[in-house]
Amino acid sequence: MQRTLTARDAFRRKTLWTALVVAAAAFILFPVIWMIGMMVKPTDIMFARPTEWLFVPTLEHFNYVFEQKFHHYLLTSVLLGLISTLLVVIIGTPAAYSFARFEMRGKDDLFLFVLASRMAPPVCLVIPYYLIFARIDLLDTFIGLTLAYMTFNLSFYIWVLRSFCRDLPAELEDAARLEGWSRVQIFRRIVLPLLRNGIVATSVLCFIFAWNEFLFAFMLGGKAVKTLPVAIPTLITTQGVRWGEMAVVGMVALAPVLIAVFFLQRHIVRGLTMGAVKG
Amino acid sequence: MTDHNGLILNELSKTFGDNQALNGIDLDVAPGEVVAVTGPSGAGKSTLCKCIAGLERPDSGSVFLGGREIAGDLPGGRGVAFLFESYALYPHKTVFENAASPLRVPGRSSSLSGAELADRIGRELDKLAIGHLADRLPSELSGGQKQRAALARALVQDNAAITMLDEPISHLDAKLRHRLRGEIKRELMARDAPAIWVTPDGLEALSVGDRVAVLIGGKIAQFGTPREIWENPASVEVARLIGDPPMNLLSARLQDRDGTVTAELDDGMHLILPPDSVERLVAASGKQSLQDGAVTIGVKPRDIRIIRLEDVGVMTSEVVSLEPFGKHSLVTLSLGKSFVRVKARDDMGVRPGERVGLRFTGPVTFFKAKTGSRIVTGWEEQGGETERRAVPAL
Repeated sequence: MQRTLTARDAFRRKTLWTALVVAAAAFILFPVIWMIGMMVKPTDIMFARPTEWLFVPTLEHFNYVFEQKFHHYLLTSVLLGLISTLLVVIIGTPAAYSFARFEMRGKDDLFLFVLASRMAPPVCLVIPYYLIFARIDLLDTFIGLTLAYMTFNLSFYIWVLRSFCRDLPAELEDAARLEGWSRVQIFRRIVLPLLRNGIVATSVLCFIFAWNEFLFAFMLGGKAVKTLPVAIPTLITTQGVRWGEMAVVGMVALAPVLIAVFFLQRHIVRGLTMGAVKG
Repeated sequence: MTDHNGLILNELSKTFGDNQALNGIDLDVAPGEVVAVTGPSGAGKSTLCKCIAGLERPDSGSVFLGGREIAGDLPGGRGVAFLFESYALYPHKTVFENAASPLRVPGRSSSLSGAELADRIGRELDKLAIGHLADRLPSELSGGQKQRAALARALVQDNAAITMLDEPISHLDAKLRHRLRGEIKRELMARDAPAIWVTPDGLEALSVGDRVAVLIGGKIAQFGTPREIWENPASVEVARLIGDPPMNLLSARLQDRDGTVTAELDDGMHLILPPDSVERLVAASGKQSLQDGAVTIGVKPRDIRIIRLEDVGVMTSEVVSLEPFGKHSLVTLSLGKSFVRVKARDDMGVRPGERVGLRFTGPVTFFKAKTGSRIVTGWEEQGGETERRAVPAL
């Protein structure tokens, strides 16, 4: 017997589906929700058995975090991420475009070289960086870390944006050239507007890489210039691990990533799928 | 050598890797003239345009425009109005902005004020029947609308040194295509600059070109007036491109039997060639005897008549299919191993499977079987017939 799909079936199916999605989300989000709880949980009941679900929220962890000047580290992380990403965009966009468009001798070798700096394990690169920076007095400076971040993000940025550039039909630029526009005008009027989604998507990823980076920040900075990921382990003290404070800082560290993804989701999805559909 | 201020190409060649895209192209387009360039896909039509525009650098040869060699000029300095086959519309700009783009280049002589510019573009868009789409983005247009938007961008450049349209009306519906063909042609002729109109459609080329260049395999197979190309195709390849349906081409072998020359078709049927055709063939081929000469015979579909089998001594063939178009019918017949298509004003109610007779009623073109190049176009009355008619211009 053939069964037709009734409205009732459709409703059931939808409900089941929603329940599954909620369950999956809860599973994935549980650690985050637990962390939010830890932020305001008094230290003495932090690991009480059985778990105490009801308690008077406390701001003690927040106070400690501010006393330890974590807002400075936050600012360092934000500035380092923004400035290094901005520089990467400024330098990397014309570079990616050139790699995609212009023929020159040794282009492929040069491109491989750009990529290689990204493929090597960071721990291999950090030692020469340390030695070089020590020699030229860039250790533990903001400029030094910015430069280090730029190098590894630049290769990634150029690599990704080059494929966006390749997806731009060259005939658009040919048409503009025939009309009499100069190379620079074409880059501004035609290329940049069409690359916007790609630039936004790629630079958000660069910012997140910089934001999450630990090894370089730890080895090349650490005292005067301390980023959030480097500061978090200092909460493991001789008196024990300060879990509540860790939760507070952890949430703060997570926030920009969530915000960026949430607001730029449209750009990232459109950016990463651009070129899949022509027209 | 041609001497005018239009476009002159000398021995233009271009190679991509192993592929010789253009091979010694000689072409000239006088000011105010429209030359249609036609040929099968991959023949080098677009490459030719790009070499003239400066988007591709030719390997050898020269390009003169406005009385000056322009090989060293940047594309932007050549004053080329170019419609790309792919349209190349700027996706982030509206139809209006796209069309306005060439007129807004800083430092260009076209000193149009904002209002004049809007007026000029508005008129062009209206003419192309897309005035109401001025504020749309290209992604919101259909294929034909995109093509017209791109066309507007090329045509608003009144002062262009040359206008090149790469398949300008191929994606329009039939009605619009017929209307715009004439309008665009008139607009191009009114200009004091040469124009090139590229189309894969041989008939469109004949209808829009003051002269037509047939490009095959990177070479100019024939360059002449539409009439010359229609009546005297230079080769089998050219004949295949022109006409709808194109010329019927039949392999045959010439036999000289005591002064009576016949052309044996592949199924044993033969045509008796009248003496004047033979004279022409002999003169054109440069041989003493026509014995065993392998040729290809070309007859236009409208130059064959279907007749009843009662007439004696005619070629017989079998009707394969019938497509009635109203004012004429397209009848496909099998003749030996080959097929013949006939554009019949009167199909006499034939049905598939029926056996009918054929009579050639118009000029027959002889091509060399080996090279495909034309030997001569002559009059041929079919076997046994003695009726003679005027021979079209040779």
